[in-house]
Amino acid sequence: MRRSLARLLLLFASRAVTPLAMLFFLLLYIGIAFFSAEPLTTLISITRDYVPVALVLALIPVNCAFRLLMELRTSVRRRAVMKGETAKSSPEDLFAETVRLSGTLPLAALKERLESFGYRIRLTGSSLAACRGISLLPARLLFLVAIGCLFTGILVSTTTRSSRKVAVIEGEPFPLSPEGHDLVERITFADRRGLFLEKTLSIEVAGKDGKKRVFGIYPPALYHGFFVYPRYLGIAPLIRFTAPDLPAGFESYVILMIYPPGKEDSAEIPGTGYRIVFSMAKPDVGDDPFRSGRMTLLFRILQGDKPVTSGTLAMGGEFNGNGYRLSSPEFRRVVTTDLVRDHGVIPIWAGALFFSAALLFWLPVRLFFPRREILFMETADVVYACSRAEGGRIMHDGIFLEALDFLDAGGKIALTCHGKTC
Amino acid sequence: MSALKLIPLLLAWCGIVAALARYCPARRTLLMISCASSFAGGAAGGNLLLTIFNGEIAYSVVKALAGACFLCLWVVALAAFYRVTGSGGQGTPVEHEKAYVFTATALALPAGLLAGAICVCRLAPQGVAPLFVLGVAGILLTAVAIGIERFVPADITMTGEALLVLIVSLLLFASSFTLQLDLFSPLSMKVMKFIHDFVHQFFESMLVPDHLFFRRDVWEYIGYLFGSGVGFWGGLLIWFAPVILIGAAIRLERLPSVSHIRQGAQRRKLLAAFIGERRCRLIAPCMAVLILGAAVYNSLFPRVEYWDPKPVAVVVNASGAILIPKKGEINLEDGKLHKYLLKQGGREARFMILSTPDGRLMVTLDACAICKPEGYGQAEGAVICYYCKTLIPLETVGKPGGCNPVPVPLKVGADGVTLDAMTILNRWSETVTGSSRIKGGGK
Repeated sequence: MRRSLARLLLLFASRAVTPLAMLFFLLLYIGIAFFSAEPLTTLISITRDYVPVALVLALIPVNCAFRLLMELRTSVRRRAVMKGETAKSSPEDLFAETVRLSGTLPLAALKERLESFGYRIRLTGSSLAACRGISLLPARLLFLVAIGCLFTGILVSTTTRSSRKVAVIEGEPFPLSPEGHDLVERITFADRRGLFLEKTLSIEVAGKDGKKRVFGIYPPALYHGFFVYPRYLGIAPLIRFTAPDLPAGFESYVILMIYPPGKEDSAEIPGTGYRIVFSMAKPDVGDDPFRSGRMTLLFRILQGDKPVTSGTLAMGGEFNGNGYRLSSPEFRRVVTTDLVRDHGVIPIWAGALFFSAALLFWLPVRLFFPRREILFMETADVVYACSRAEGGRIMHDGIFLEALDFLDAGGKIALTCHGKTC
Repeated sequence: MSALKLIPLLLAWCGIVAALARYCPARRTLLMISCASSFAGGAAGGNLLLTIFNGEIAYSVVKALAGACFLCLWVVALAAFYRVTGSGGQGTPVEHEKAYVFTATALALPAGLLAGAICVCRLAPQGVAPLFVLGVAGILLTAVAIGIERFVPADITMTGEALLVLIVSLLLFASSFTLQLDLFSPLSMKVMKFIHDFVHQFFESMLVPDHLFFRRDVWEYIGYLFGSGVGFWGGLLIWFAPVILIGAAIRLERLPSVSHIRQGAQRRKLLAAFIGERRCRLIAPCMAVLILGAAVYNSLFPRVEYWDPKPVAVVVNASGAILIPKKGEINLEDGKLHKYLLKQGGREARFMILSTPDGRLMVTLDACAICKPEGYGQAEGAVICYYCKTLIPLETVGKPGGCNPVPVPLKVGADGVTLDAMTILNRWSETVTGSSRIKGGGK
């Protein structure tokens, strides 16, 4: 039982698990691409709907966690061996190269020799450990954590994300607010040149207790567990409309997603067959119409599919022609917003941060201070000479071989530094 | 003419046989028999496919097989690279002779079958005689290639991965000569689509705001991801990556351990021999890079003449309609593609009329909703999108979706075809969003 468990753990920690899982998804994607015009969204929905596929995706973070533990364990064991704690571990699995020698070690001479090459030496009884540089282990661990976070985020996001599209309107309760307590006081759209964005959007919401909250563009704010994700802008003008066959008229606020200028949207006049198609006129000069509130609407009035009249309507003004009267005394700003419940977003961003940290650590250390280790260890029946390098391998291997030659010659070879006799 | 068309394909077949012979020099006769028989079988099977099914299905089957080979190469390349980097640079395990023979035969069979089928597709539509000549030529060339291989320097050796990379690249090279079998162009399109979908999905998932809020310059940089260049370069990356991975796996193979040797000269000799041998093993991936490069060139500049008439300017009458007579200077029912250019109020649109194989007249824009409006040319039984090289069977022209030309509603009368000018202009500006330029002339 215990052996089977150990095997299972080894299987989960195998280096092959993550690439195989990724290969599975690649093949699945290619297969879907043959039959679907939208392979990526189809792949996402398959992952969400079929548990076995989600489980394959889950293998990746699980594998990362196991690998992290395995690599930590190996590192701890290697450190122990380097410290001279030889009782439990054989050094052969812990180093890139291990040579078995016979005889005894001239430790003092070896120490002097390796120190001349810049190695830090630790002498402990019958072993000599030489090392220089900084270990890349932290970068490796950060990398594994990053992969784990990234795929955990993708898994959680794919399987549990829910989203609702709502219209946030000035002067109306904020959608999802309990009993309509939270009121949208003001929507402000302004220029502010940032690193990536050049606009800011503020949705100011006043609570029942008078406490104010402001939702911006990025990073998205949380509201009762939902991310507030503003998507598009629009207006809700108060439309007053009368027609020759509609003397009683129509008056109501209508939501028109017509920003930026050029976009079209239409409003149905219920029960009349009338439809008014609006767009926002592009201002020749001056301020942004959404921001300033000074806007002119272009409209076409249709009865069924037949156009009956068209014209322009300044906000606050009135159109009167062919028996049709259209006016809009006021308007409210609207933001079409997605309220998204997604617990995968934060792990994905955390993964990106861990990736960056891993890269920032790895790059200078790998280039300028790579870890190189040599160990000479005398046991009861054999002498081990071990070596590993995370970079600068050619020079390190040369020093290791020279040290072995030195031992072979009984510690009497002339000391050389970089090919020259010292 | 048919023989000339087949020369590069048969040369590619010779290359495959020579590579197999170099990998397994001990069993040349067995190899020759399996190569020759599989090539002949492939040619016969390909011909059977073309006879039983219509052209499109047969081509799709052969193309899918070539794609599967490329996918296998990817898997092998990743495994090789992963093995070398994961094991601290351990090289390929030494194979026994039986394994060599098994691998060579296992590769010779599918390679021969596919090479034969690709040659037949290139030859189609032809009679029995050219097919017979092709089979005989393939068998003879197998023997010739095995004979020539003896003269290749003995230093040039081949690992299993290098053999596979050479075989697959030669097969892809051979298939790139036939438009219907070309893999690079569809690959570029798929990559472009994937990147587009991925960026969109990433923005949605990470709640990144829309372009409305972005700085213009930043959004332009993001816009590069939606351009055709990304598809092309991404396609190139995927195309060459397996070869590069296999080359890297060979190059990163760790030097043999020499710690047990105490004579410096002996150590250096051993290492130099290993490095020299490793360099020789890199020759096959380097050749594969050149061959795959040639396949890309073939894909980008296919040697096919298309029917692509210069667009004829049309006149719009007072009611906004365009009348094009069926007969006259241009006969709309001659089975050929006819192109027209509409100019009105500073707006332009190009459209085309053709008669489908079932005799129906179809009007479409000279553009699809996906690609830049490079236009279409007519080949045998299909029109081709010049931009992405996708072949659209004539039967499906007039149906919307994918890379099909965007259909335009028409009224067919006894004398001719009536179209609404505004509909054409609007449809052009609505769907053809990829580019602002219009090509006036035919190719």
